[in-house]
Amino acid sequence: MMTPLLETRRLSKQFGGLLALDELSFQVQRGEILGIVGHNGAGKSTLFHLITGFLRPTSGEILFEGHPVTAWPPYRRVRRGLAPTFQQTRLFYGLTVEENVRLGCFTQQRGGLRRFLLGTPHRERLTMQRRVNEILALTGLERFRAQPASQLSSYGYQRRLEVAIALGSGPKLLLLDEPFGGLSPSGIEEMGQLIQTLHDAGLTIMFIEHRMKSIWSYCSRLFVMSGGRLLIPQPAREALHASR
Amino acid sequence: MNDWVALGQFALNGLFTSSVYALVSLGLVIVFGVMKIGDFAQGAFYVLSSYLVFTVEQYAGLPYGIAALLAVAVIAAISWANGQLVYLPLRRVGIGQTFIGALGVLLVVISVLTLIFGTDAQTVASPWGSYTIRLGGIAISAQKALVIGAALVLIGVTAFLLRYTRWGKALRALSQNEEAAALTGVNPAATRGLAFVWAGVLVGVAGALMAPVWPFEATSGTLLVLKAFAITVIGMGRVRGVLLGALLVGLSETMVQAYWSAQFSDLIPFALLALVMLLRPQALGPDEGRSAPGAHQVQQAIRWPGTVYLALAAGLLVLLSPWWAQMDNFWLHLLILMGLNVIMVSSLDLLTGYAGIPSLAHAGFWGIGAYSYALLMMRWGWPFPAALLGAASISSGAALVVSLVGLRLRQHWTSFTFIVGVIITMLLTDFETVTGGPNGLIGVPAASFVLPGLGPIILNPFRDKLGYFYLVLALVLLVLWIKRRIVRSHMGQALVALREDEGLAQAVGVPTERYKVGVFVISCGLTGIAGGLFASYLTYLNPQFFTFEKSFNLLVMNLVGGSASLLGPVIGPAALTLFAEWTHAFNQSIAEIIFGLLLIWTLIYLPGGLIAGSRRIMRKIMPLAPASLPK
Amino acid sequence: MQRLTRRNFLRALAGSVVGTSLIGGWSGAGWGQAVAPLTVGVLLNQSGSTGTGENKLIEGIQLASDVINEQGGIAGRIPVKLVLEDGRFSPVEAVNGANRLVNRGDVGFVLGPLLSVQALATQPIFAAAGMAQIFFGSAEEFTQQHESAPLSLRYSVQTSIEMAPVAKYAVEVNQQKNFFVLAQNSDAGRSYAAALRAALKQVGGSFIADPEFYPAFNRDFATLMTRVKNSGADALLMGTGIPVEILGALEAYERQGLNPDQVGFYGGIALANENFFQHAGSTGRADGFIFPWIFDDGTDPRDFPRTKPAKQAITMTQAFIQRFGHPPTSEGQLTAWGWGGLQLISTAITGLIAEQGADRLAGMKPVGELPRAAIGYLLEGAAPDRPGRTLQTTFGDLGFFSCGQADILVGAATYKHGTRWLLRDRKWAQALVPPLC
Repeated sequence: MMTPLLETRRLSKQFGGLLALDELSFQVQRGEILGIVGHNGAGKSTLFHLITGFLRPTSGEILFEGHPVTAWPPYRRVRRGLAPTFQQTRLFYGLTVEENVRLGCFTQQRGGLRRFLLGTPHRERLTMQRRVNEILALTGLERFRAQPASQLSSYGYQRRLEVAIALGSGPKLLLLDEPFGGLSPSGIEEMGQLIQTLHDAGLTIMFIEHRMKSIWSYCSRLFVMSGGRLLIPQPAREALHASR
Repeated sequence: MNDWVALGQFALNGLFTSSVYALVSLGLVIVFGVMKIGDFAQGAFYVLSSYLVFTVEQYAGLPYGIAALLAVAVIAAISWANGQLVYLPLRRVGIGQTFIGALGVLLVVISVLTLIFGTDAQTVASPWGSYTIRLGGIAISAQKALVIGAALVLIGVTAFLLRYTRWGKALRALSQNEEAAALTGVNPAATRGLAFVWAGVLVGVAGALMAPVWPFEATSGTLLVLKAFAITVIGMGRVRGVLLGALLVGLSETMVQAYWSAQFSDLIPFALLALVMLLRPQALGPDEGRSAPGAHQVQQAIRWPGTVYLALAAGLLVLLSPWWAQMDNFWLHLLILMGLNVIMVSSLDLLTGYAGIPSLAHAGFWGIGAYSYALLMMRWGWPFPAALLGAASISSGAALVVSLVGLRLRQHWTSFTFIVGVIITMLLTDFETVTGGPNGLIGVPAASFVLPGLGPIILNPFRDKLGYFYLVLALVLLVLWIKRRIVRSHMGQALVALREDEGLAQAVGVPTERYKVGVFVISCGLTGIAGGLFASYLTYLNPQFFTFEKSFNLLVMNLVGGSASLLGPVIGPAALTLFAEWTHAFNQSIAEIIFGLLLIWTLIYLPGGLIAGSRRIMRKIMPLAPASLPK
Repeated sequence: MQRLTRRNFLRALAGSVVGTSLIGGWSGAGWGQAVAPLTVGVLLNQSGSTGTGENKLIEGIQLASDVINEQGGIAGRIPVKLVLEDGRFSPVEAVNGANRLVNRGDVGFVLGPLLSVQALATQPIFAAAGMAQIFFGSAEEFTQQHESAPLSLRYSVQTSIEMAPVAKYAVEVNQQKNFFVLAQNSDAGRSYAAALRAALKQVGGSFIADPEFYPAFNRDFATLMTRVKNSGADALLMGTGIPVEILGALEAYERQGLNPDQVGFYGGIALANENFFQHAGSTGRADGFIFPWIFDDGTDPRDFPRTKPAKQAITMTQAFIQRFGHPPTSEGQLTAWGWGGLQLISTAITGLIAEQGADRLAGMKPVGELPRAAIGYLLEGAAPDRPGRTLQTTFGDLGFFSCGQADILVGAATYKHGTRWLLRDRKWAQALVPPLC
C-alpha cells in the first residue's frame, strides 16, 4: 500500500479543561478529495490548525508523506507541500491580485547572494510569470490581475484568490477551511468546479465544512466529526444515507 | 519613628503615588480600548489642568474648588476634541500614525504652555494649607488624602460605568472586536466620543488635584504618562489589571526609595514592564497581525526605473564638484548631519515601512554603533574602515539579542522597542568605565584611511567638511543601493508578506521569525555605520544624543518623507532639516508648535508622506506604469 | 617675560601710557582710522529647562557689552558686537550653533555654553577654528580645561567652593554635624555630595548615611524625607541647582514637621535662585536655611561689617539699575557671571594692548592669533599652586580655573523675614578651600 499523503496518529488537543480532539487517527490518500463535516465545536478547526501547524497538539503525531511534521512550524509544512487556506478569508489586501499570487509563489523563488547582487535571472523571471499566469487562468481571476485585492467585487472572487495564493507553493495537499462558507448557490457550484478541476490536475484536497448537504457531491470520501472524534469513515454516499 | 511606623508611612506614600498613576492609567486604558493607541497627549492635558487651576485662581480670583471643576470640564472637552479632530482621522490612516499624532499633540500643548508660562516651576496653594492628617506616627497632607479619596471614588464610578451602563458595555464590546461590536448595534462614534470625554475627566481631576501637591512645569506630565502607559501594558489593557499595576508600580517605587536607593526609582515601571513582556507576552489583547479589508491603505507603489536613480546620482555628483568646493561650511555641516539621518531613516524604513515592525529603539542602536566605533578605535586601535564595520557588527549583534527576546512578544514590538531604547540609554549612562558615563567620551578619532597612491588621509571634521561630506554621501549611496537590492530580492518579498499579514506569510512559506530577526539585524547594522560616522564627525559622544526623542524624531522623518520607499527616507530628513533652518530664528516654542501642527496635518492629509504627494505630481508630468512587486 | 631691551622698553612705555590713558577713558581721538569691532559669539540656551537661568547670563553679557561700548569699546576704542546663538537645550543644536559661529569667520571669542554636554561637544569645534571659548559650568571633574581644547576656559564657581562655607557654618556655628545628602543623580549632584563630604571632613562633620541620588526633576520627596527624619541626621543638604526639586523637597520637609533647628536645611547657590526665592524665600518658608554667598551687590544693607564692595560690583549694579530700573534680584549672580565672562575678554585685550601696543593688536587676525594671545595673557603665570591673573570681574572676586588658582571668596547667608541675609562674609571660609581642590 502506498504511503498516505497525510496521516494523523492518535492526535489529541486539550485546551485547559476542554478536550477538543480525542485521539484522532486517519489518513489522506494521494489523489482523493476528503471532506470532513461537523457542527461548530466538533473540533474541525482545531484539527485543521494542528495539521497546518498553527497549533501544537497535546499528544499524537502528524505525518506528511511518511515524515513526522508534528513539531514543524507552518512555513515548513508549506514548503513540503501542505498548503492551507483560512476560514475567515485572508489575503494581502494592500496588494493587487497578481501580487498576491506572486507572493503565493514565494517558495518557488530562490534567494542567495548572487540573486541579491545581480537580481533574478531573466529565465527565472519568465518562468515565474508563466506560473502566475497559469494560476490566474486556472482560478478564473485573469481579468482582475491588476486590481487591489481589497477591491475584489465579490466574496466568491476573494475566496478564489485565496485558493490561487495557496496554489502558488505548488502543493501536494491543499487544505481548504470552509471553502463553501458564505457563498451563494452558484458560488458553491463554481467553487465545487474549481475543486474538481484542481483534483483533475493532480492535487489532493482536504476540506472541512459544517454543511453536509451542499458538499457531499464534491468529495470522494467523507468523515463526520463530533466531540473531537471521527464518526463515520465511509464513502460519501453511504454517509449521506446514514445521516438522514 | 520605629520601623513599623516607618513602613506604614512608606505604604501610605506608595498608596498616594499609586492613586495618581491609577487615575492617569485608567484614562489611558479607556482610550486604548477604543483607539488601540497609547494616548500620550494626556500627559500634556494633565499638566494643562494644573495650569488652568492656577490661571483661574490667579486671574479670575475664584476659589480652588471652582477652579478645579472648571479645569476638569475644560480638559474633558479638549480631550474629546483631540480625539475627534486628530485621532479619528489618523486612525483611518494607520495605528503608527495615530501614535505619532498623539506625540505631536503632546508637543504642541507643552510648547504652548511654555510660551505662555515660561519654564519656571509653578505652585498652587492648597485650600487646606499645611493641615496634615496624622494617624499614629503616620502623616499625610489633606490634599494628598483628597487625591487618594478622589481616585478611589473615580475608580468606583468608572467600574460602575463600565459594567452597568450601555456605554460601558459598548466600550467593552468595541475594545474586544470592532466589527462584531458594530454589528450588535453599538454606535462606535458615540462610544468613542464618550471614552475621550471620560479619559479627560480622569486626567483633568488628577491634574487639578495634584496642582497644590507638587510644583509643576510644562513638561511635568511627560514622565508620568510614560509610566502610566507602562502600567497599562503591565495591566494587559484591562481595568482590573491596570489598577493592580498602578498599585504595584506606586508601591514598589516608594519601597525602592525607602529601602534601597532613589537612583533606581524611575526605572521600576520600565523594569516591571520588561518583565511582564518577557513572561506574559499576551500583554495587550488580540492579534493585530491581520489586515482587514477597508482598514488598509492600498500602496500604489511606483518603482522608478533604475536609470532614474542613476541619473539623479550622477547629476548630483556632477553639480557638486566645482560648486560644492565653495559651499558654505555650515551648509556642508547640515548636509552631513542630514546624510547620517538619511542612512538611519532608510534603515528604519526597512523595519517599519517594509517589514511593518515599528521601532522606537533606533537611536539606541545608533548609539551602540557610535560608542562601539569610539571604543574600537580608542581602546584597541582599529583602523577606521574596520572600526566602522565593527560598529555595524556590534550593533547587529545587539539587535540579534534584542530581537530574539522580542520574538516571544509576537505583536507588541513598539512598546518593547521603546523599553529597549530606554534601557540602552541607561546602560550608556551608567557604564561609566566603558562609556564615560554622563559626561561622555572626549577625543573620539576622526575618519582616516589609506588610499592607494595617496597615502594615509585623516579627515578633520572641522576643517575638511567637504571630505566628510563626500564620505557620508558615498555611504548614503551605498546604503540606498543595499536597501534597493534588499527590497527587490527574495527577502524583500518576504518582508512585504510579513508586513501585510504574518499568518498568511507563513502560509505561503515565509519563515517569518527568521526574517523578523534578519531585518532587525540588518537595519541596526546599517544604523551602526551611521553611528560610527557620527562619532568620527563630532569627536565627542554623550548618551544624551541617543535618547527616545531622537528615535521619535527618526520615526517622524520616516512617516513624513514616506515609508516603504527608497526616496521617502531622503525627503523626510531633507524636509525636517529645511524646516529647522527656516524656523531657526523663531522662538523655540513657536517653532515646536508649528512643527507639531504641520506633522499632524501631514499625517492626516498626506498619509503616504511627502513622497506620495510628489508621486501624484510626477504622475501628472510623466505617466509611469504602476509597477507591481519586483519581478 | 621678554628681555628688557631699549626697544621693548620704549614700546612698553608707550603701551602703558596708551593703556593707562585708554583705561582712564580717553576716547582715542587722534588715532585716526576706524577700528573693527570685536565680534563675540554667545552660545547659550534661551529655552528649555535652564533657559530662564541662561537668559540671565545673556542679560549680564549684554549689560557688560553696553557699558563697555558706552565708553567707546574695549580699551576705549574697540567696540563689542555680540552674536547670539540659541543652543535650544540640545547638544546637537549647540553643535549647529557652534558651526554657525565658526562659519561667520569674524568671531574670535565665544561665551558659553553652560550645560556640560553642550560645552564638551562644542569644545573641539572652537579649538579647530582657533576660537577662544569661555564656558560656564558648575561641577568640577568633567569641565576641566582639556588638552585637546587649549583655548577653552571654564569660568564658574565650583561646588567645593560652595560647600566650604556651608560645612563650616553647619558644624562650627549651628553645631549640626551629621548630614543626610539628597542630590540629583547627575554629575552636578555627585559633585555636590563629594564636595560636602570633603569639606565636612576638615571641620569635623560627616555623613550619617550614604547620599541618595534621585532622578532629575523629581518632585516627590515624601519618602526620602521620611528617611531623612528617621536617620537621626541633624542637617540636610539639597545637592542640586534645580528649583523645582528644592521646592518639592521643601514641601516634604514641612510635611514632616521639620524645621532648621532640628534638621538644618542647607543647599548650594540655587537656594538664592529667583524661582525659589519667589515661591519660598520671599514668603518666609526658607528662613534659617543656609546657602553660600558668592556675590556682593554693593547696595544691600548688612547686619555687620563686611569688606568694601569691589569696584566692578558697584559698576555693574549701577548699570543694572540704570537699564532695568531696579537693583539686581537674587538672580544677580547669573547676571554677574555673564558680565564677568565678557569682562574677562575685555581685560585680556586691554592687557594685551598695554603689553604689546594697539598697533600690534590691530595687526593680529581676529580668529586664531588674537584669541590665542588673549588666552595666553589670561593664563600667564598660572599654575596649580599659584593664581593666574587675578581679576575682579563680577560682583565680588570670582576667579576662574580649577580651585586654588585665584582669589575665590565665598561667604554664608540665610533668609531672614523673607529676605536674604549675609551671615559670614566672603573671606570667612577661605582657609578651607585650597585643600579641597
